[in-house]
Amino acid sequence: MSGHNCVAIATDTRLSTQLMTIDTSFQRVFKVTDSCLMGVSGLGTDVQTLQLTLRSFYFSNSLMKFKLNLYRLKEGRDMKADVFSKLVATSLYEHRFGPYFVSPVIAGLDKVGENEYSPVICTYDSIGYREHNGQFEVAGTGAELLYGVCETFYKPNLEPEQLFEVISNSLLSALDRDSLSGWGAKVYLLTPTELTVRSLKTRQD
Amino acid sequence: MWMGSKEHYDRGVNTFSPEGRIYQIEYAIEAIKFGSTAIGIRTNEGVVLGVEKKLPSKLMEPAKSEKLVEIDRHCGCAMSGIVGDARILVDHARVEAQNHRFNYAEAMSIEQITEAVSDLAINFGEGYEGTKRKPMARPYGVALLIAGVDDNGPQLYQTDPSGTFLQWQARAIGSGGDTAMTYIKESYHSNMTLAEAEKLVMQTLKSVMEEKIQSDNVEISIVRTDTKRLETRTQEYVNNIISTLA
Amino acid sequence: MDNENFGLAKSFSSAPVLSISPHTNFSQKEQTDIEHELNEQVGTTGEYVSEGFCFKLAPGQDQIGFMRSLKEKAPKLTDFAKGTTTLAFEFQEGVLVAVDARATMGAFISSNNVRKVIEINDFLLGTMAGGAADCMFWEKYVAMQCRVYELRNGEKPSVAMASMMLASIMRQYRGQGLSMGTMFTGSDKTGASLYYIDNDATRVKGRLFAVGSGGTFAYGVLDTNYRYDMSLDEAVNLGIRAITSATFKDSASGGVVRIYHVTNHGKWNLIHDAIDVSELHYQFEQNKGHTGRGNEGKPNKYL
Repeated sequence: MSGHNCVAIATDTRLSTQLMTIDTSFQRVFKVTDSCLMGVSGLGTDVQTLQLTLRSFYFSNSLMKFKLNLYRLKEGRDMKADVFSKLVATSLYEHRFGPYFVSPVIAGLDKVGENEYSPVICTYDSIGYREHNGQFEVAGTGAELLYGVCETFYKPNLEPEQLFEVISNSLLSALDRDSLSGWGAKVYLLTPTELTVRSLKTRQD
Repeated sequence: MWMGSKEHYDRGVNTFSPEGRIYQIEYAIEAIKFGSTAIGIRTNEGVVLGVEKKLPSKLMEPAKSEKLVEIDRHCGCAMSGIVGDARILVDHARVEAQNHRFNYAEAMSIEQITEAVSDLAINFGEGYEGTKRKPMARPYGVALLIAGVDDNGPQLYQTDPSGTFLQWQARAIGSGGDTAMTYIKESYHSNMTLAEAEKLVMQTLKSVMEEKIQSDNVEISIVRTDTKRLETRTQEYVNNIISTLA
Repeated sequence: MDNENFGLAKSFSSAPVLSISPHTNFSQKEQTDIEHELNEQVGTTGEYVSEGFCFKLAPGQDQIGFMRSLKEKAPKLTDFAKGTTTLAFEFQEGVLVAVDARATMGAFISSNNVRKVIEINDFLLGTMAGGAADCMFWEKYVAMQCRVYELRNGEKPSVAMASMMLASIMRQYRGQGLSMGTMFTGSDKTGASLYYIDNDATRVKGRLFAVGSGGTFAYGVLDTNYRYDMSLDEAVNLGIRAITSATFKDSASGGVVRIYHVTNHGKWNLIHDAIDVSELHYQFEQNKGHTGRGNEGKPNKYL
């Protein structure tokens, strides 16, 4: 979700195989650069596959990390969030005929002027179709449930604390109706100067 | 063919006589007049049903609730005539009443219960070609007093073998029926209390019964307007009323 | 036709008055007769008549095939409410029944406040797992039959008899797509007793059952802590504990716990109407010195 000079990603922390809860403190959101976050949702065993893939995005010599580093070496600067979001699309399409069953969300801030930042908010299908409207994007098992509440609560140009309230309440509302999500939630709030991570107390059923 | 005598028209239940009568139904109504007396009185506080239980021999055990039975918890039934026939009708009424609760989650109205009984009562004859279920071949030789409380308040109905049903403020059927009706007519008024009605029922039974009235040869039940529940009066209660009778 | 159609699941008014037992129609007939009769009924009236009920059928000959293709083409229509944790066990003071309250349609939580204990009448309880409508309809039907029995015979039927009525119905409709897994419990002259009945017409009398997607998790807690000589308080706490654990592990179970106690004296009591399982979870975990978030022993790592 985007605000005025801020973006946020909210996610639950459950990992499961079908109906059975496996882990209730599972990490789904990763920092790509200082100005870009990536959250990924998927289902069941694919989440585990994805976890490895994602960890390697950030920690190891994975495809994404390789591409990020190569870009930095060639260009001499960090990749902008907008650019990264397009890179993810093409990278997912590389697996067009054997895709990861994931739907990532990207939230980032790109500097456009003195103290003025443009939010980058987008989501993808599993083979890299990029969807973005600049306001908010949703993904995962509770996606349909999130639309209604996000459309109701969202307003453009929210300040960071307001954005935190809106995104948290939207997520909590959807968690109440999605049986496959919940068991804890985290909100990642990114501003030009800092990244704040907060835990939300949620239902445990 | 020899015509004009009723003997030829009273054999089948599906033939009218030239005067427009179905004799078997009329005979069935006659059968009720041999039955023991049953009385019902409606008041604003509730309905009372009372029956006489004939004990042909001292050796016979006084059966419980033979002629005064529960149809549903808000509705009772007193009968006069062939008790075996009544049991079929009562069973039908019970099933219909429970079926109504099942489908609508509410109590069946007393009128509807009575109508269900009357529908079955008139459904006699030879049956139709190809149907599996054989209906009763003759009319049911019984009259019922159906009393209860529903959304329309306390109510008293009477059915007879012709499928007719009528609503009454007070009604007596059976061998002492006519006498009892005259008796009740003198004392009944629409503002009676339930206790007065109970007493009137007992007093009337006492006056029409051949035997001496005792707690084991009469039975009364009431349905109160406020509780809408059928209650059967205990022998002690009945004894108490008997002791106050004139 | 001698069977009247009132547009409702009604009309045993036209059935023989004396048939209580619902299994008379099928068991005495050859399979071919049944099929023949079924086809005949479908062909002429579009209704499936059995034990006096009129169930509307789809136009066509192959009913089971129709349901199957419906399931493929319109899964939402035929995916009835499923996913549950229900448990019941006998102990010295009767039978304890504990259930969750979640209803799901796929992953969507359609309610967290369902009443899965069906109060059949003042001495019988049934739990609800599988198709909510199937459980509700047939258990209410048994309630009606019990009442008719009581009116006819002047005494209440035994729990064994009432449970047999339900099992007989399940046998009659076996293979026709009913979905029901119920713990049928009640109290009669002999005290409280407990049966498990499902849509395969299984009917088992037993001490301890847990039914539904969360049942396996509930068994874990139940089997560890169950004793026959528990007090009512202990039994209630065990029920709460087992349901809470199951709702934690099983995503299709959740909401609130409801506890019923069937006494040995012919009636049942509602002990707890709604305790939030989430609150219970935090409470239990904090009693152990945990936070309840499940991150004990893990590094506090955010990125």
